[in-house]
Amino acid sequence: MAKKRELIINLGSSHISVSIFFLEEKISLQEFFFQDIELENFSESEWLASVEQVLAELCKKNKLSGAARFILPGSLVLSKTIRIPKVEESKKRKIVEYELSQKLPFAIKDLSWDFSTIDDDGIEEEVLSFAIKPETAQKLCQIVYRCGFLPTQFIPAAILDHESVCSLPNTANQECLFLNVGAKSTNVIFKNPNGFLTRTLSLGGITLTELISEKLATSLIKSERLKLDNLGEGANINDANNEQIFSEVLQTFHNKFAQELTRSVVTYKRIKKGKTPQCIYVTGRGVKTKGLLNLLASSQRLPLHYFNPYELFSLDTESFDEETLVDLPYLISEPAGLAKQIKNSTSHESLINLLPKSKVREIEKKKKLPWLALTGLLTALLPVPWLFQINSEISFLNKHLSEKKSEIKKLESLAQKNKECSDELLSLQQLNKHSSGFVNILHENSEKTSCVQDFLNSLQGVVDNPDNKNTWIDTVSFYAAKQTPSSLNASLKSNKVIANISGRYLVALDPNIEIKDINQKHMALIDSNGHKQESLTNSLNGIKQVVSVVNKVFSTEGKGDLYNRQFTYFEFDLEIDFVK
Amino acid sequence: MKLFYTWIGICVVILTALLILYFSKKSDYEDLLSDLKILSGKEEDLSSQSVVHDLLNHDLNIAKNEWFNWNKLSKNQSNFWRSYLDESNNIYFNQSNKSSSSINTELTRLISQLLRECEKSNVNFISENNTPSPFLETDQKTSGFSFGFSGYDGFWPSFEKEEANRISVQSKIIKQIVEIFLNSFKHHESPTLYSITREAAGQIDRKYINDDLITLNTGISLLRSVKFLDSQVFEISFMGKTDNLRSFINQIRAPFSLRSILVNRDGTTSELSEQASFFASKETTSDQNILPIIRNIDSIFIIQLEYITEANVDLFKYLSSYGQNDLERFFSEDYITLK
Repeated sequence: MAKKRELIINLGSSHISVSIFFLEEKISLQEFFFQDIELENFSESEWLASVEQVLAELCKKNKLSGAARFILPGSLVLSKTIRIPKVEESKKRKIVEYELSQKLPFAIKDLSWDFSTIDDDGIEEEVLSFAIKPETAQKLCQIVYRCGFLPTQFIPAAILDHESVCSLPNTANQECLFLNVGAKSTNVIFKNPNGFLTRTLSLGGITLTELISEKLATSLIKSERLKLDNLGEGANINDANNEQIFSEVLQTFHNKFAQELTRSVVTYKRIKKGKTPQCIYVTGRGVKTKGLLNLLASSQRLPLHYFNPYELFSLDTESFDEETLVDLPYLISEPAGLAKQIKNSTSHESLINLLPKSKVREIEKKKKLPWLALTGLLTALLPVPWLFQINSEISFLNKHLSEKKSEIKKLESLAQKNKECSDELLSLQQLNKHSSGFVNILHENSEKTSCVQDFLNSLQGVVDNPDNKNTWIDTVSFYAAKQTPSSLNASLKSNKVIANISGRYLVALDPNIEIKDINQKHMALIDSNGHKQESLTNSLNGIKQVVSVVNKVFSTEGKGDLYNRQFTYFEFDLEIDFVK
Repeated sequence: MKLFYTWIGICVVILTALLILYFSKKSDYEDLLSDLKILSGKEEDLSSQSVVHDLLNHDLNIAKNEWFNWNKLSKNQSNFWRSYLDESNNIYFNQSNKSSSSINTELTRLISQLLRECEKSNVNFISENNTPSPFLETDQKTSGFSFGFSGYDGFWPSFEKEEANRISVQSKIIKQIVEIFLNSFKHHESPTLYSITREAAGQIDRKYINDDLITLNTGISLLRSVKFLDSQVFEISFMGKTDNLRSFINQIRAPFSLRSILVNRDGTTSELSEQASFFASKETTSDQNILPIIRNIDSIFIIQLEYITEANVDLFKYLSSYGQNDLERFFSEDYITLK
């Protein structure tokens, strides 16, 4: 079971205590601090001012803050016990409101009020209601805010003692009287098996202080000190001058207290039709007043017990200092009762809360404020992940971009090189084109410088060839290949010319052939001439520069005389390419 | 509550600021995306261009190699033509700028000198219009032969200096041709010179050149038919044997180039032998004993010679005429030796 931490602040008339409980299966008191309030007078405004001062000191000293429940003193709260018929819960509040409006001296709408059923006989219910002035509650709220607390509940001290009594052993079916003697009032609880009756007596430690102050005409602070020194628990009246006064004052207080208590018991008897308490439990620092317990014992003739708070909760005594442990049993009944009530309550609504409804709503709102603030902050920071994401994407893109830029720079450099390369290539192509024309023309021309000599040499080679012996050339001439104009141009351009060569050769008979008659001689000469023709033609055709034999004429008669003088006239038109 | 509202206000401010920042970043992000898209497109373009890098380099290497080859060949050609031009011995280049009158004197002296030398070598001068005949030999010897300058034998028109100098160059070239001609014949031979013709040296010369103007053979193109070369063409017509022609041709050296030759039999001596057969007897016939058919083997040779006077064979200058940029770079030693 998870530990539930409860910070309970008891705003007493003469002290403020802070209790921190852990509500588990058992209630445990974790921390307890208290501080007395010193008052010049007992007005509400001074008390509130003192509360703020003391609470602030306690908070500062013990580093306290946050949500807290506040127990209000009986003097600050108006309580009323009323009987109403037993009705449904939903109608009960309206009936109580109506009854209170009839019985309270203030308009109920002007008050902050709440109630609790304290007795139920099946037909009627006894309802204990409490009310506080809204302005007082407002002031208290402001004070506790300023001290760093967020009030979640204002609950009167009177109702809480009942829870404490109920927690005591052997009290479940017992009629008992519980007295919590406080500073300004005494809370009287008559507990019975069906419920309880509570009354608040306007008598407490301060009543004695006020009596001393009146008698001695001293300030309340001084009177309080005198009270503690002379009329406190175990103290003796040391001041001989005022011994009489103190005795009178004490007697007056005892008488008042006894009368009020007896009246309450009588009233209880009347209400409860003769039932009387069987024992008395006492608590509160007021019981330390000299002779008070003896008075109670003698006047009520009932067994008297100190209230033992350790029946309600556990505590680690080593965590508390000695002074705290001395006062703790007198001061803890109400906070312990509240702790018990919180633990036993099924819902928040079942507890009495005098905190004004508007204030409660405001507090509820304020409770939500941190969450709203957190939500606001989270909403405000909502774009942060997007920013991180987009920043990461931007940095990725930037990186990618810089890589791309670097790549493009390289590619641009390459493209520039390509352009330079291309330009150089174009330039070189132009150079090569023009250079080739230049070189080729010069080369062709250089070939032509000795082309005629070369041809003549070749021609001489033909004549000197043994197969063509006895051949001589009579004429040589060159002329342009005439034919068509187009071929003439082509001929000029292509360095082709026609070489006209004419001459004669002798035709010898083969000495190995026997010639018997003239016909046989002619036949032999024709054969020999044929060989010579072929040889000469082949030789001329074999000249390097000769492209083709355009025309050839062999005359054995007329210009030649083969049969008589054995020579043949020849004429060749050779197509020549000098640069071949 | 005030604190709460302040807090909420702060939260709203923070939220607004963060949202503004976010949208600003978002805008930056979108800008970056857009930039990236543009850059990606650019990168794609450039990548596709870079694919051709290797091909370009390959082509460039081929083009460079080709260029180195052409450059080398052009140097070879340049060297060839420079050596062909033979500037140190080329008359055209060694011609000092002389006055017209001094050239007249020089020409007159040259003609006299050539005539004397021809006389020494028993040269017969026969007019080209006349049929060369051994019977005219004595008469022709005495005729005034002007070696292509008949128009200026005792006459000298008013020449521009340039034209006169060009005539002077021609005269010196003709002197060399005559020397070659004379050297083509042995001492005992009696050469016959028909004519020497030349090109007109200018407008004035064209008026007076008369029959000395050369008729160019249309068959074989001249070397100067290409624009890089310039030349002067001369024609010499003489009678001789094959050996004389061979000797003449063998003496032709650069910057001369033989451009045409016309061989004709000497009409006066081309009669065939009356002998029935060129073979002495059938019995003794053998290849070695065959006799020539024609006893007089003289021929008339008409030779055209081209004398190269200019050779503009510098590739750099040639390419400059095309307005090619950055030529110095391509001709630089660094570039040429880059290979």
